[in-house]
Amino acid sequence: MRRELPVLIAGLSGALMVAEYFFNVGILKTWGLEMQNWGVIIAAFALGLAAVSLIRIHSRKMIERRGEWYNSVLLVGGMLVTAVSGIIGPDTAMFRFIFEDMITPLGSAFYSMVAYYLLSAAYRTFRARSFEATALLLSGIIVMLGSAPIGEVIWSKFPVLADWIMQFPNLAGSRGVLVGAAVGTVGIGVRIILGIDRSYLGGSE
Amino acid sequence: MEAGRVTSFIAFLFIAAAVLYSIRVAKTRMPSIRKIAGLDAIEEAVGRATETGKPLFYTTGTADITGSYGANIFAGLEILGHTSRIVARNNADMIVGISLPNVYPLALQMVEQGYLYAGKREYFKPDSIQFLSSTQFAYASGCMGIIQREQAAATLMMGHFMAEAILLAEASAQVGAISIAGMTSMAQLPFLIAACDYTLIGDELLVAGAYLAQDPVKMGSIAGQDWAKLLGFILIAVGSVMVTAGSAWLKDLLSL
Amino acid sequence: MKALLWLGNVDRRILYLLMGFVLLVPLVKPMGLPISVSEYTENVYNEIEKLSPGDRVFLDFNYTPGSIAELQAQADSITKHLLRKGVKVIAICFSPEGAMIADDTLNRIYGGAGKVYGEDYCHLGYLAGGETAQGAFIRDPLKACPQDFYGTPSSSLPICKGLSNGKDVQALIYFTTGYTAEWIRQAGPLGVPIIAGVITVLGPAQEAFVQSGQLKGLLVGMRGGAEYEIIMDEPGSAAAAMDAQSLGHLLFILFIIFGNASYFIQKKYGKKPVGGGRSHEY
Repeated sequence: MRRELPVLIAGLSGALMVAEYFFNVGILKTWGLEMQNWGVIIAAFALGLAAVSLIRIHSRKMIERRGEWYNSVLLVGGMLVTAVSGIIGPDTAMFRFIFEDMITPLGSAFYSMVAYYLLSAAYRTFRARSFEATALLLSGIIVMLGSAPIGEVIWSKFPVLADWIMQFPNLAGSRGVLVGAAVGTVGIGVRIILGIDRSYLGGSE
Repeated sequence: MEAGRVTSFIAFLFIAAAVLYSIRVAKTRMPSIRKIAGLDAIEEAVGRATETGKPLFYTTGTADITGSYGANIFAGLEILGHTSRIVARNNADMIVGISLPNVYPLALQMVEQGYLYAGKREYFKPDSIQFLSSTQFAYASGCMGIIQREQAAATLMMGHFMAEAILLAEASAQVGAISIAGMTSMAQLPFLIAACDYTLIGDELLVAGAYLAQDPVKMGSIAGQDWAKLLGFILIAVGSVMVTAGSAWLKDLLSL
Repeated sequence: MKALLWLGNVDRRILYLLMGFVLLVPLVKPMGLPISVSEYTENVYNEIEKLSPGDRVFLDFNYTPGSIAELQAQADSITKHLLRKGVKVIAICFSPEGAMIADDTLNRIYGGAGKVYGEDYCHLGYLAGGETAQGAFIRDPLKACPQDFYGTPSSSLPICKGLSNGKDVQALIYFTTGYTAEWIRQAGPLGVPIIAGVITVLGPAQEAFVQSGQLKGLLVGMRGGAEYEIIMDEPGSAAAAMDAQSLGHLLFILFIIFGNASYFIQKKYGKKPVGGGRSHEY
C-alpha cells in the first residue's frame, strides 16, 4: 500500500488534469483549478522544507564540529536574520539592506563570472576541427557581431546575416528540439499516469 | 471538447497508444537504441576516479521535480542510481550536490539503492549527498567549491542548468576532470557542448534511464515516442509542401 | 609564427584581466557607437502602443538580482511606456527575488510619478509553484493571490475589481531568465496577448514562438533593453553599456581566431594540437 497509494494519487491527478485540459466540463474545470491551487500550497510547504533541511544539515555540522563548521554558523545565522526581518515586513530597513546591498551585488558579481568563464571555455575549445565545428564557429561570430553595435559599424550586413541565422537554421533546430522534448514529456506523462514509471517514488520499482 | 484542442487530443491519444503498444511489443522483442557516448563514458569517468583516488562529483541542477523540467531531474536521478552502482562496485568516492529540497531525499535514496544493488551497502555515506542551496549562484558556488577543493576526477551534470552550467563545466576543466553533461533546454546546451567532454542532448537525457537499465517497459516507451516523432515529421513535411503550394487545408485541420 | 602559437595558449588569468579592462574602459569613456532598433523591439513598442488608458496588464518579474544587468533596462523601459500610455499594472512574481525587484521597479516608476497604489498599480507578490501556480493564477488571480505583497486583501484593491481571469487583462508581459513556454501554455489558450523580455541565451529558443504568433513581441538581453531605451527616447544604463558589450564581443572573437590559428599551425607542423575537447592547458 505504501507504494500503491502514491501511484494511484499521481495517476488520478494526472488523468484529471489531462481531462480538464481537453474537455469543457464544469466539474472538471472546478476540480482542475482546485488541484492547481493545492499545488501552490504544496510548493509553499516545499519552501519551508528547504529551510528545515538546511537548518538540520548545518546544525548537525555545527554540533559535531565537522569540516568547515564555522561556515555553517554563518549560513544559519544569515538565514535566520533574513527570515525574521522578512517576516516583520519586506519594507524594513534590515531586509532592504540584505536584499539591495548584499544579495543583489553578490548575485550580479557571480553572474558576471559567466562572461569570464565563457571566454576561457570558448578560447580553449572552439576549434574548426570539422565542418560542423566550423559552421558553429562562423555562425557564432556572425551572430555576436550582428548583436553588438560595433558589428554594424564594421559591416552593415552583419545584423542582416545574424537575423537570417536566427530565423532559419536556428529556428529549424530549436523547433526540432522543442517537438522532441514535447513528445518525450507526453510519453513520460503517460507512463506516470498509468503507473508504469514510478521513478518519482525514489529508487527502483 | 475545448475549442482548438481536438487535434492535440488526437495527438495525445496517438502518442499514448504508440507508447503502450510499443511497451507490449518490447516485452517479447526488445527494441535497440543507438549507442549514447555520454552514458558509455560514465564507466570511464568512474574508472578515472578510482585510479586517481579522487571523487566523482554528480549534480542534477536547479530544476524542481514538480516543475516543467521535472522529467530532466528524474532522468538525472536514474543516471545517478546507475552511477552510484558503478561507484560502489569500483570502491570509488562520489559527492552529490543537490539544489532543491524535494530532490534531496530522492537522490539519497537512489545512491543508497545503488550501493545496495552493488552489495556494498555498508560503504554508503549519507553525508556524500549534500543539499547546497536552492538559490542559483549559491548552489553554483557550492558545486564549484566542491569540484575545486576535492579536485574531482570527473564531473557529471545531468538534469537542468541555467547560467551556472558554464561555471560548473569550466571549474571542472580547470581541475582536469572528465565532464559529462546532459540537459534538454537549448539555452545552455551550446555552452555544455563546448566545455564538456561528452554531452547528452535533448532526448538522449530522457532516454538515459531506459538505455542504462535495458528495461523493456522503458525501451518500449522510447520506441513509441519515436513513432510519434515520425508522425510529427510527416505532418511538418507534408504541411510545408501544401502551404507552399497554396493549400492551407492541413494547417486548418491541425488547428481544430 | 611563435607569436601566434603563444597567442593560442595565453594563460586564462591574462584573458580575464584583458576582458575586465576592455569592459571597464568604455563604461568610463563611452565611444558612442550607434544603436539601431530592430524589428523585434519595434513590434513590442507597437503592441504596447495599441493599449488604451485604463487597460490592465499583468507584469511578471521572473528574474534574480544576478540578471538585473540584462533585464532591468527592459523592465524599466516597458514600465515607463505603460505609464506613458496610462495603463494600469498588476505585478505578479513566481520567483521570490522577483517580488522584491517588482516592488522596487513599480514604486520607483509608478509611485515616483504620483500614481496611486491600489488604483493605478498593485503588486500581488510571490506565488510559489512554478507553472502550476501560473496556471492557477491566470485562471483565477484573486483566488490564487488573496493578499497582495503588503498583506492587503487583493479583492479590496480598486484595480482588481472585476478581475476574474486572464481574459480581463489586455496583455501579459514577463521578464525572465528561465521560462521557455510556460506562459504560452497557460495564458495562450485564454487569448491573452503575451510579450516577453528574456536574457540573451533564451532568445534563440523563443524565436519559434514569435514566428508562430504565440508571442506578440520579444526583447532579447541588454541589447533589447538598449533598443527600447532608444525607441522611448530615454537612453539609460543599457544604451551606455553597449559600447562595453561591443568591445567584449570583439575580444572574444579575436581570441577565438588566435586559438584557431595556433591550432592549425600546430596541426600543420605535426605537433599535438592543444585545445578542443579535453584540454587542460592554459
